[in-house]
Amino acid sequence: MSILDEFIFPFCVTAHSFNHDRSQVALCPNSNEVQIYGRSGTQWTLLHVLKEHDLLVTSIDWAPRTNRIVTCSQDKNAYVWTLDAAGSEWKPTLVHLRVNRAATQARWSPRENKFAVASGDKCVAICYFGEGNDWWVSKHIKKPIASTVLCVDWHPNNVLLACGGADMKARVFSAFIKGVDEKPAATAWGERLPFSTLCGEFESPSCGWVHSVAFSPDGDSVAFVSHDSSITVATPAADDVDVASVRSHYLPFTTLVWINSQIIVACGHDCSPMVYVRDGASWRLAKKLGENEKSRRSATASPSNSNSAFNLFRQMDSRNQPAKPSSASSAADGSLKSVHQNTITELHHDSSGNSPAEFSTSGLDGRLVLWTVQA
Amino acid sequence: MAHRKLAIDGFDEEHKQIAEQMQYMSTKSDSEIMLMVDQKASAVRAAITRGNSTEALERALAEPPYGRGQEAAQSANALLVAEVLMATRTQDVNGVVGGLSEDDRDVLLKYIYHGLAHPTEFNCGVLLSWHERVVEAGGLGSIVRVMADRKIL
Repeated sequence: MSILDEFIFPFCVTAHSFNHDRSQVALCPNSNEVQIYGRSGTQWTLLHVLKEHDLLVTSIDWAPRTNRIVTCSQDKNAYVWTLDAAGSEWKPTLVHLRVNRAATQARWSPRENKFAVASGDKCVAICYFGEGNDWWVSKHIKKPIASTVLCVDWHPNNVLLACGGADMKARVFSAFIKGVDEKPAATAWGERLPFSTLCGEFESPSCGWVHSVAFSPDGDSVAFVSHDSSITVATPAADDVDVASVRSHYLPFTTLVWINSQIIVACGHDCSPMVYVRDGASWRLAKKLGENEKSRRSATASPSNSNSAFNLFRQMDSRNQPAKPSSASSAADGSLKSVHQNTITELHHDSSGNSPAEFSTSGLDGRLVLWTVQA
Repeated sequence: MAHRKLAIDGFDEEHKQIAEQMQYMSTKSDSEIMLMVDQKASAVRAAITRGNSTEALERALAEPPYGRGQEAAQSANALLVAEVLMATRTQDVNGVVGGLSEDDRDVLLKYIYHGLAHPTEFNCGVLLSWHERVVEAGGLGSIVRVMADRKIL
């Protein structure tokens, strides 16, 4: 049984982030709002609506320890939200981002004192709190990024940042901020690295936009998925870099996560999480999660009332196909055999070290699913 | 966005340079590439007459003439690959596809799509049956790779 829980929302979920104990989730329902739901039994109830952005919210990240949420949007802004003392309202603080194009992804650093915002302005903005001005200020990493940055991920040492973009390269930069960071210990990526130093640049065999990038839990490798349906893992060694690529048979992945240093889970346009395990110097597909789990389908919780006509039309919308029986890859009622019925948009790992490891996925079909995978 | 009237990136000089830089550039000159394709031709045809389709295909797929500006070499190479595909017996197709490496399979699919794009010069029926086998082996991912790759044939 790889599924812990499955929830269906009546809208496409384009971004999601859980709080530290999974009792609340912040979602973007494919609009300019962020909705925060709290868990009550098997249902989610809407607690807050964060309305400050003007255009689609592209990314949400909830910092587990400091309990702050950073959101960024196509309206070229990012906000940091803090819960007020009474715990009843989330207040936004504007971030002085200074980008001229949409922001695509925002992630808190491991120590939650900085966050990185990737943008279409061919730069990554590293933001930290400027005590003097009482707002968040940014420093930009620009060279040699040639196109929109689509994804970012922090190294566990709080200084190195991996980013991938539409120029088909994944890069590792140093995002060391004087005054906020202490000098980090030397890592496989280099030592004594001032802000914006390029520590590595990688691309996949057939190129393709890099949709998601992630450092391994120990920080020694970086993995990325790109639009040429491949997963590439790069590990800097003594003089060289070991780059291992796996070509997949499936549609491109949009997101990936390291479960531990031997297992990567990737998901995307093929609607199922795929588990890849390290196999010597390379990686191979171990299994696809969530096929044939029809038995628990009828027990899924849904915040809307079900009636078959409503469901039929909603399913036609979320799956973008008329509901009629079809080929081998779908069941007799036209649905896909996998749990998600449409592209998976985001994947988040619960890094509290539970075993079996847990992660959550959200998709364009409105489903939010919690999975476990044996480590 | 449909309501935008100005294509703002078109005004940015830097943007055009970057788009140019992202094209695949070969280290060889145009004539060297054409020569390479011609040299392959004799070896490939010899392998076809011997009846060894696997070897013929591997030779034809080796060192593809990627890049803009190589259309002549690409057409010549594609026709060569098509010769091999047509000369292979139907019962051997599965075996040949199975014996190819992942790299070669992706390159073969690129040639198949090149052929399908020029239906007057290629036998599309044969190409389609090979397409079916190659996609069975490589999955949808191999088709995505043909479309996404900057190294065009």
